[in-house]
Amino acid sequence: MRALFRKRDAFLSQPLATERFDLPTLNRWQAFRLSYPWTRDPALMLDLTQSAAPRSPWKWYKELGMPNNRKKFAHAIVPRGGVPIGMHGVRLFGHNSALMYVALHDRSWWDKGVVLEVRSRVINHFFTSGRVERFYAEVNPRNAASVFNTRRLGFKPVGVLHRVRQDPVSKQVFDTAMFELFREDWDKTEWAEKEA
Amino acid sequence: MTAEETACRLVAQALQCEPDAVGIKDDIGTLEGWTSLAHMRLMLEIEATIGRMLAPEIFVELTSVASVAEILRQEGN
Repeated sequence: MRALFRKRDAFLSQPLATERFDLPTLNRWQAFRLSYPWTRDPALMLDLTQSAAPRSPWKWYKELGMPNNRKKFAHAIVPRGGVPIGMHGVRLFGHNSALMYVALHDRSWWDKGVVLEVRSRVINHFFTSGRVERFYAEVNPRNAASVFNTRRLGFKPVGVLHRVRQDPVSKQVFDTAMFELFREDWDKTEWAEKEA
Repeated sequence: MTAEETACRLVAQALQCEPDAVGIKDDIGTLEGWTSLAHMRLMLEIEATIGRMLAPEIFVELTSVASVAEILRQEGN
């Protein structure tokens, strides 16, 4: 009950913007409404969760970990003057660490640098807050687009877990590659926003 | 053809640019055409050249032309 009255993080839950996109902050219901249609897109679900199995609304609500704007945050990805094309999420965990996920359901925006533009803005924002010193990402190593985006932003691979997940639909078994990015390394990249 | 020359050719094919535009010192951050789609094409080009799937540990290290050359050298291409 007490959790219901915990205050949201006013800084981390701010809406953000990039050159091409508005990134409004989402609450639980907004994130659910935006993401639930993904569960009817097996290819997208397979890339995001390594499972193309259909989900009930309740199962998806629990699985995604809807934003509470205290430790879990989500931003819609909205081209200026357009409709949402995807969502970017961050979950704080452990010691000053954060896990990230992103999905673009509008395929016409794939391979147009959206993830690099959005994620670099989000990473800058979270590092600026002082609550995060390390980002962590888990990626299917056969998902070339995800590996590319992760490496391009400066994440370093820290290992591969073998045969950790199985798609219940196709029975395909997946490895998971783990990456991490520390603030001091981010500050040396071209993506780091320099404080005035 | 050396591993370095083959690596430059494979990266140029994946990026759909002229081979002269790619040098052994280039990487994921210096070549503008190195996008997520190009990265997927590069993975497939390398696998077609070496005749087998890349191990995930190798694939995640694929961030430069030199790293492609290193893979080709290890595979004897």
